[in-house]
Amino acid sequence: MKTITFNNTAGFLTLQDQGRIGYANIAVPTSGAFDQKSHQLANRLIGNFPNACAIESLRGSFEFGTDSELVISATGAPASVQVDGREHEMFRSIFVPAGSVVSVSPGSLGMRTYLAIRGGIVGNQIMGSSSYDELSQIGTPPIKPGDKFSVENQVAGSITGDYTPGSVITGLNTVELETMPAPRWSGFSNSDILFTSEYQVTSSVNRVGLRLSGPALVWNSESRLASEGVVTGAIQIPVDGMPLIFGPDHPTTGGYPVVAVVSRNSLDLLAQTAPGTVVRFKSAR
Amino acid sequence: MKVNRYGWQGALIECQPEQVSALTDKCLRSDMFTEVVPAECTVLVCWDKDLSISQIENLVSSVTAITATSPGRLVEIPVTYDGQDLTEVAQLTGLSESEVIELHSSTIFNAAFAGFAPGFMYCTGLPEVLQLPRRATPRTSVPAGSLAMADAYTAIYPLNSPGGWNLIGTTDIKMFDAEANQPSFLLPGDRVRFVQVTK
Repeated sequence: MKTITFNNTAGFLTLQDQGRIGYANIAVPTSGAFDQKSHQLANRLIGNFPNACAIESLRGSFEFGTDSELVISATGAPASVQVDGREHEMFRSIFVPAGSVVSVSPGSLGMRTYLAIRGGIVGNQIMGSSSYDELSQIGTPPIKPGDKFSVENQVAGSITGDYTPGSVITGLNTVELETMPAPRWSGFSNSDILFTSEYQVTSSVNRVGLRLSGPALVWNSESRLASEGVVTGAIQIPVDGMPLIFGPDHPTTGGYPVVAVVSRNSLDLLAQTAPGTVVRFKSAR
Repeated sequence: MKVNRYGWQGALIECQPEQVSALTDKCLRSDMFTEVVPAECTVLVCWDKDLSISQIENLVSSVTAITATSPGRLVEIPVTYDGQDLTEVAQLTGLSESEVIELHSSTIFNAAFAGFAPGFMYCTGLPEVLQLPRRATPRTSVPAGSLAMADAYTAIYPLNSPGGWNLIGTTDIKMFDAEANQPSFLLPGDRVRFVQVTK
């Protein structure tokens, strides 16, 4: 089997596929790529199955060598992608000769770059997925220098020769999120301020969730809310009233009320949203 | 029972606590959902294709108070009542240590829902006298297999983790094993009895 070996890594690098489905009842989050659109595009460009395991790099730089020829693709947050020091375009297939070194370093925009390898990277498969789950700490541990991975031979089709930019990540100062009220919407005395105010992404952001700051939402009931299941994209309101939007590694149940839910498209956008960005919630109905 | 839309591909079904297991069972058997997440008095369902709220309403309408009475499997867990907080629990409840043990090990609990960590199952049915608040300062590390109580629940920590519950015992059973066919030893809906063993 083909093997890649990481020489250098900086930042948070994980392997991600589409996650673990069907285990939320035993408190195992779905996990999987945060920006699903970019992950799927990276796989599609090189003829992989959509669920193939690829690298998700959170503003990290990394370098790996290969003993065999590879076909790779990079999508998501703009980054410099080089093969033996020569710059290549993202959003198209890249041929990598045997014995060469691939290096990736982040640009100034976006948060997560995806790098897929034709055939799929072999991770540590746990409960049907190789994804690293930051909350439960299961799956393939974050990649560090010296790590070696095999590359599988599982392809869905041929390599797409075209340049397919997908959603281009720009340095937006403001993002708008498609939002739908959740079952506890009316339990807040001021839920409407979610749609009329601006919030800001704080520095507390990871795959579990993004904390925002802005006008506090007020839960109008004295009584404790019984713990209940939560979905990815749920906007939970803890005691301080500040929204917390749940990402792919979110806890499966929670005791704080959820005011609303953001759409899958909005989650892809949030995966690329940097701290300090202004967030506006837009009602989807 | 009330079916509430919860995002684009989810619904939160509200019900009585005693209906949760029958409702969960019904939803699991339907093959309509990618996730079925029971909790105290709700069941969350998620799906990945098109599904309408009325289809879910039709599905759950047959869950009645009668179907809700069917009991879950009874799971016995061997434990040693040797937890660090057992003495303090006895003092706070006004019972002797052996009375705490007697009461806890003679109760049949219900594995109500999971949360906090993989395989962490909140078990309800804790006798009122044993219901104590969480510790003022959570421990930074609680070993896997610790039997604990807090508020109205008892549970076993499946993995080493921080934790604020009162520790009353330990078990050698591996509560969560990601490599196993059935990763969680307990499933929501199980009835649970802790059987005292001496080491």
